[in-house]
Amino acid sequence: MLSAALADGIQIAGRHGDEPIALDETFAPLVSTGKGAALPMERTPALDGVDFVTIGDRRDPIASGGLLGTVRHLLVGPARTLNHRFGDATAIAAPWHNASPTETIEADFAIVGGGIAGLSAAAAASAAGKSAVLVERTDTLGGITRYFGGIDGEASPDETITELLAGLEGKTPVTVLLRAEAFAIAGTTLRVHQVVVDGDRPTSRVVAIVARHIVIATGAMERLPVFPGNRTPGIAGALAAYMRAERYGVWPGRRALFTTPQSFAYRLALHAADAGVAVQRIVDSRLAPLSRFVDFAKAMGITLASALAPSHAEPLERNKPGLRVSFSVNMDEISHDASAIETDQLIAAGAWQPDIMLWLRAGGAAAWDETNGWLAPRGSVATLSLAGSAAGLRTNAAALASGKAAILTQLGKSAPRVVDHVIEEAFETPDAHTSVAPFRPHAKGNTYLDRGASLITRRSAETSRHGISGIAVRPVQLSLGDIAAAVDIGSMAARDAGSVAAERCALAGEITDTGWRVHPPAPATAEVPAPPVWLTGRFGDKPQVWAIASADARNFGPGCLVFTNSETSDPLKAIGIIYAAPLPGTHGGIAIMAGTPDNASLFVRDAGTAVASRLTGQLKLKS
Amino acid sequence: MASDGFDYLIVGSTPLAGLVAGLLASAHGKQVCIVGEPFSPFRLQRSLTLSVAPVTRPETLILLQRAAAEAVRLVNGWGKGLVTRVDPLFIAETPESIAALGYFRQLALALGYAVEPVADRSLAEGLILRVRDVQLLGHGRFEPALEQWLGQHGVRRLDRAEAAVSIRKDGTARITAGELAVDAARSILLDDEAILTHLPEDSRDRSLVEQPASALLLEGAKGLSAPYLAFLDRGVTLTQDGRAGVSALTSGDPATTRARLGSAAARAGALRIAGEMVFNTIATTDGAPYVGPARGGKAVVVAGLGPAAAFFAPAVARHLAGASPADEEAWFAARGATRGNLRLQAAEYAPVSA
Repeated sequence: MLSAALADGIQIAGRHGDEPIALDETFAPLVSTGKGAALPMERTPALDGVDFVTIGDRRDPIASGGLLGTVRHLLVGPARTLNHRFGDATAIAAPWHNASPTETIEADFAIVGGGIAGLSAAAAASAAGKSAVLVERTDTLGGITRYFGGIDGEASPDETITELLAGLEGKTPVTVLLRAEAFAIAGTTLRVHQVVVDGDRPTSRVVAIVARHIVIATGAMERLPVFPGNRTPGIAGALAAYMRAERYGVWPGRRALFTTPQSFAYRLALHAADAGVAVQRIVDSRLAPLSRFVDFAKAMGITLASALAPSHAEPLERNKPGLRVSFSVNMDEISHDASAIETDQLIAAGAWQPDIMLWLRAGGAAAWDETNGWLAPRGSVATLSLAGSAAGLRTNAAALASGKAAILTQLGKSAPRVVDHVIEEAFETPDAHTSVAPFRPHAKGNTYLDRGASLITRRSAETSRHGISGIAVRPVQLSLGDIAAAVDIGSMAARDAGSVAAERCALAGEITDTGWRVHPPAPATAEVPAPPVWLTGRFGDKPQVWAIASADARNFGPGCLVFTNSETSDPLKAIGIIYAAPLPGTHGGIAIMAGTPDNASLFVRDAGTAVASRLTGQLKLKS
Repeated sequence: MASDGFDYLIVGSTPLAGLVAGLLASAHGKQVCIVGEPFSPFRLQRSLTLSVAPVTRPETLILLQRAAAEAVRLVNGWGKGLVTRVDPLFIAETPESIAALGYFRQLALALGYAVEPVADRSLAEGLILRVRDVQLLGHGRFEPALEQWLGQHGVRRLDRAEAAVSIRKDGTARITAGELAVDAARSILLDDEAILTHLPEDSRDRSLVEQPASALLLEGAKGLSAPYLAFLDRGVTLTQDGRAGVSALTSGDPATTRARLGSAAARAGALRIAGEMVFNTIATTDGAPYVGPARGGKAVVVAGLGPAAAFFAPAVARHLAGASPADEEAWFAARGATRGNLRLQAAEYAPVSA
């Protein structure tokens, strides 16, 4: 659905304030066919003859739908926006988070993530004759390894994937759930939401997977570079752009501008150029980067720039394709604006962040990794293993080995050593951290910390009421990218990042009234109730229990204090306390007393009023 | 004063720990080192600290009233908005809780609190009390001011992640952090996490028990019906945190946490979870505060002061410094280690964990 919408020229999810927000894989509204539950746009297949509506607040529901919408379409052309309105409140919650599973699958292993690490784990389980369920968010297996390509001396990504897919049919075939997202984990039980096609309509189900061991191979996410206007429609992450093009053939516009802190975006630019896209420039935030891809780009005559990062982006015209992008020098704290460039699409590659959301949901810990500039998993969780990029590994070889090792270790077998050997710096400049433009409080356009639904802006993160960051006070679920960006811009201490991620990223769902109530009060009995334990010693070692009647025939509420005269109100001078309702057929109340008063006439203070009362008889407690 | 170290080692990260440390230094002239977790505004609130609590011992409410007035004066002297005035609602639904809250109402009225019953059956069946003009510590604003105040009074603050603390049986302690290696003459464990970290179960008084709890940050379109709601029988406390935010604390059975929370916040409609943290707290079996020694040792343990803990700080500091007047000393004496039925004389209403 999402790729179909993008292919149809719909680049805008809606507006946040007056800011158009790009529609993308991490920010797409729920959709519905009008029958059945809401579905995630990015996991729902577009089917012939099935109409969908998106769900959420709209800016002008009358003008954008029905007859007026049709007229508008005829007059001004197809809409580029889903026309939603995003306020400070987050978008509609995914309803499946609170749904009960309709099916339970039991297996030896549950493997989350159908990239090469997950496939390697699944193939190892299958080869060992163990049952395994492989859960993959998209509709294809293989993950993102094709984006990175291969290196000399290794099998190509396609060869690797083909071999791994064959491995799923080992001694015990692997059960594969596509378009399925593991959204909750408790012990060794996963809850998975899957979009399925029932007849000719998409629908969904929630499945519980009960496994002896779970392998988390959820890969890595690409961070959003931090600059004003960074969610302007027409900006896409390099990985997202690659996947759209590779899987669905979607590539908006005829010209593209690339900005990157790592070398693989060059590879995408080369593919784009091969496909006839005018690659206007590749702008690298690193100084004089070295890479085989840089050399290839030079050889193809693509204009390259280094030590520059995007500093601003804005639409060329309201509700029209195209954007204008400015860059600034990004070196040694020096900030100097370079000229602006107009383009159809800005491919803004970001640094990587291991996807450890499920790990955190399982109770795993995380900490800021200063070297890599990401939140890394820490410690261990019984019955869980991490593999591939989710574990912070960078290479295909390490991903393959870690997936296999996760299974073999559990089976008590000898596991391959996981070696994550990256190309030496002399040949390949290491990835830089996500670029951060200089903070200009009055810059036009919001600077978002991440692509997700939290819509936290740099302005709110850096300043807020009473000097407290907006991240702290805004009650929204944060993404790992929000936290990583908050560390990068200095609004969150790196030491807090892991704890905040565990508290603010891990959970989702809603709290609703399920009808739970406090047990109803027990019916009154004629027996004299015992004084509560919190009155022990209040009136000496041998308190007495008395029935007290008021002169005005009222019943006293529990807790009224009993005094010898009407002037005293000091609770320390009280000689008794009403602690229970009167016996049936009487009025007043039952009091615990310090002893037998000299005078049967006394006063009970009821909400400040001294009420003349008298003792009517001492009561015996049932032993 | 210790010649080469500290008079007191305070272990704890809560407002109570900070206030006691600062008061020992500022009001009692002691050398104090506090080891705790540095404040982070991004972490969820593990306490919602109010200047009043539904206690059932008059001497406790008298002490709290006096100490809270001192604490509010002190904190207001640091700057504006560090405590805010709220009218909390306390809600009792079982006969036992209704009796206890009813008694609290009479005590509070007698002591000059503005307390009124609220008839709102849509909120809960039972007894609902509103207490007016109560002070709530302003999370996020109070803590930085506290840290600044501690610095002004020479309190040495150490990050617990970087400091090693070894508490000896005689109550003295060795503190090492980087180049620093010093002794403290007395060790005070001033919050639940400090007790859980530094005292194994067999070194805790028999009245102390672990209790699961959770802190949540929730997003809701509708506001709560009061800025502070304490459901005694549901083990749920809610505060309105900004226009759309709700902070919640729950205690009791984790299996029913969400159901209890959902029932307590029913009026606010569906609440989106924006954060959750599960942790353990220390409660007392008799509901009374515990201020006494570790079992088989002399380190001082402070626990069970409830949601008003920080507002007891001036009295706790006086007690630790040996400067309490007679009535306060009697209060602390009755809330020490378990010996015979002594603690029963101080038992407080303790809601049954839901």
